[in-house]
Amino acid sequence: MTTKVTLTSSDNENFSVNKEITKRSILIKNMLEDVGKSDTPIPLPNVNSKVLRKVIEWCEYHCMDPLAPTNENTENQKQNTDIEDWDQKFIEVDQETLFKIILATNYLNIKPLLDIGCKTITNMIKGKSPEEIYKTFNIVNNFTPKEEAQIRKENKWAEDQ
Amino acid sequence: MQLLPTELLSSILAYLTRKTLAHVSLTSRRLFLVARPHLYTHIRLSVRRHVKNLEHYCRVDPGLVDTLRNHVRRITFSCRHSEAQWLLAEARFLFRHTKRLEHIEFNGFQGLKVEHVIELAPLVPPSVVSIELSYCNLDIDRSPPHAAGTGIGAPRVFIPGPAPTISTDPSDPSIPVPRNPPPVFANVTKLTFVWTDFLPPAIGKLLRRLPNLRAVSWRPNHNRVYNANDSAILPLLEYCPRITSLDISLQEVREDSVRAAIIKYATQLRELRVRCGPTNSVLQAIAAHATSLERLELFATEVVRCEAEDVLRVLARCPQLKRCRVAGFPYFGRGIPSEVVEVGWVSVGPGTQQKVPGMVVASTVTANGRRPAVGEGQKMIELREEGIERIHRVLIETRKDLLEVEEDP
Repeated sequence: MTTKVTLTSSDNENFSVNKEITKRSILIKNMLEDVGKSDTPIPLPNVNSKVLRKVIEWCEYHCMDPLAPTNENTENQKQNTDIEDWDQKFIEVDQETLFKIILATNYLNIKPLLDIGCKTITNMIKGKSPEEIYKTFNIVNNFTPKEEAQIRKENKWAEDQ
Repeated sequence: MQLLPTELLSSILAYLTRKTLAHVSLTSRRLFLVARPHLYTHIRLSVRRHVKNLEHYCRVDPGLVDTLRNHVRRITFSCRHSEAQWLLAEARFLFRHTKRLEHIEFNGFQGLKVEHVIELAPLVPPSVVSIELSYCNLDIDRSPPHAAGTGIGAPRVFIPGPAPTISTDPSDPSIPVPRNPPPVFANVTKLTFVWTDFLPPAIGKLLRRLPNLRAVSWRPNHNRVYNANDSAILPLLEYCPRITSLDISLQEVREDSVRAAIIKYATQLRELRVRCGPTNSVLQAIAAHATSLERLELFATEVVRCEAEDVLRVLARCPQLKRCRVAGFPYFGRGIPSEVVEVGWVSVGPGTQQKVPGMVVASTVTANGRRPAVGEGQKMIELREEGIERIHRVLIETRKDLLEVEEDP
């Protein structure tokens, strides 16, 4: 028989989830270890129900993955921004949700999902011009023209491939 | 994007190429500050004007100076056009600022004068531990010696002087005793050559300035100078006594030279990657001398005879081996005793791939997931810790004869 854990989102929705699945989150795993056996719902005040539902969906799909993968080749992983098909589909959400998923997984400490979120943003930036970048992300360019010209000149070497 | 805390933003930017990082830097003050350390981790310079710009902003922008000091780990001088000598001369100011620089790379220099490289020895920060030459041609400065010391780019005027008299008598008082030893790259422990050709005197001059080298890696090159590759090994043995990791992947190199290196460094060697010639003398030298190896990679260039026996001797006599990769031996597998085959060493050819714990068959996939190159895939076996341990155990029980040292001819 599998034990269930109840998670409460910031908007007070309760989610009953398999205990094993919640252990994907290092935050919850540590909480459960600290608390021991208890039926009290775990409040997650930083995560709303929409995002929490997504995160649980991801954890359920990946419940068979080995826990805590070894970070042996960090240097290799750095270059590789490939995302598996299922995860790619999973992460196709509007930008606001994407950022919220990233923030939530950072808070919940679910490293693999955090990586997927970060890689997705990276892939959105890759190869774009400065104008395209601030359009894509609604960034307000707060440089003075003079500052911008200086940075452009100073970093000129980096444009030369 | 504004919502993300700096450390997350930073890990997102860590995946980007420097060109995109430069673009990100232009989008807002915050992103500029987060992107800057990533952008400057690896500086790649190829145009004189860019070097001039950087030098200028180093004088007026304390933020840039700070970034250079704390974040630059690697500088690549990439030669294009004819700006080669200017590049090295004028980028020197960088060495004053980059206190954490670890790696210097010279890329694409068609006539890289070794003097211009060794002139940098007293200038580079003590943090520099690794030098790499890729796609270069290392040459020597042929201008008169009195002009050579005046630095790169200085006008070279030939002043006729008296012909030097050469004396070989050590007691001759006319031979000046050098007052100061030549400056060396004191902390450089790693030298890598990738597709880089060289003249014999040039490689000698360079190695002389690398007395603390621990790891040297000579990847294949096109060297057309007769015996040039062999000529690299002699000065290595002379000037670099501390080598523990040796990679001689040069195609044109004699077995004698490789053997001499193995005999010289002997039990000091922890990592070895060499090509084996037709006589197996390299394998025999390893078994007799380099018995402290932890990683070994062997490539056969030509048909190697009776290889199994010699490879087995290496495995029996190197108890600390953790990785062993054998590639390109066409008859590999013949003559391997059945006891060894049973514990995991199998003859691997197309169609006979077997999965054995601790062993990776590289014709399927190599250790790092890379597809093997053409010609390399047919026969490539990688043994890992577990597999090697088991084979070693069986060999020392069943083949005690392998442990006996054979005298070198």
